[in-house]
Amino acid sequence: MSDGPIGKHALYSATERKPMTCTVECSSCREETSVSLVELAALMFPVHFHLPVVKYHHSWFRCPACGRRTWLRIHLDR
Amino acid sequence: MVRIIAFANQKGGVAKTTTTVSIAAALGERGRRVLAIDLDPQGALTYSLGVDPDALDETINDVLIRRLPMQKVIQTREVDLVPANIDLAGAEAVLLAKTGREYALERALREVLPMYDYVLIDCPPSLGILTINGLTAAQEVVIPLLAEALSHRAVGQLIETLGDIRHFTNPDLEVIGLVATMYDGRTRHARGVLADIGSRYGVPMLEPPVRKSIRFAEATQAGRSIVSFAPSHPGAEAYRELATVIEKASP
Repeated sequence: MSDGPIGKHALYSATERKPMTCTVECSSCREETSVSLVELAALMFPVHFHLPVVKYHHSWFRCPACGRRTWLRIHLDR
Repeated sequence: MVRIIAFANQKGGVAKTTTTVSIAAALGERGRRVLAIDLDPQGALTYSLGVDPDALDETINDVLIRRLPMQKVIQTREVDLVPANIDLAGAEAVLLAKTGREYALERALREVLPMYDYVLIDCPPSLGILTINGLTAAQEVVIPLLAEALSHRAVGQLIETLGDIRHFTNPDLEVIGLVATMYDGRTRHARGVLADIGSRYGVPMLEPPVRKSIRFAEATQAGRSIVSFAPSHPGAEAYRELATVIEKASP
């Protein structure tokens, strides 16, 4: 049995999110992956760049979905 | 500042599409730049604006699933149109597997927003992921309804869904009001429902109600809105008045 959201709340991915998480959107594989802030820090290790305003996918680090170092966008979960 | 308005009611056959296309055309008539988005796999809005949904290669489905830029699917008709066809039915299943599925339309819209004064979204007659996308992308919502007993239940469920939307994805979503369609003021039942339903849910009933007429079906068949097809028809006048009410309801 899944312990995920049930009924109409299964429509919302927000209900799948845990506290202190964010969604990472990859410019290469187009996947969106929910990661914890600790996982995000690990993906950014040892080097990462941020170009806010300049690019839509504003951060350069490793994508959790495809594993490539590429440009990504971080959405803090609402 | 662009306004994004969803037309939603999970009950079918309440003239959501007719209301969307007529309000869009009435706003366009007064010089507003309007984009109408068809979120219904039945493609009724697409058909209503004179485009054959079955002849389209690229639609809103490609925008939501393949991330095709929205500009590439916009068709210029009475107002600009983002069309849909039956391919969109599969988008529900694909989106359901994705994190952030509620925001697919909101993201796709960003690039075209500077080009418009109004974006009107025709939601499908269900409370699924496509409707949630429409309500997440919108700032405001208009609820078309029939003045009959079953409308109570549908409006109640939709108001509950709007609460969920505010909680999970779009805390600023506002209800502009209810629009009574296919109204027959000769019956006591219709008058009673209209008087009761707005106050019961604390939502304004926008005036005037739109009366039933065969001219709406004729306009759809001609691929035009009632506003351009029969400009002096009472239905066209009613939608012009509603467009004024909606413009004045600016948040």
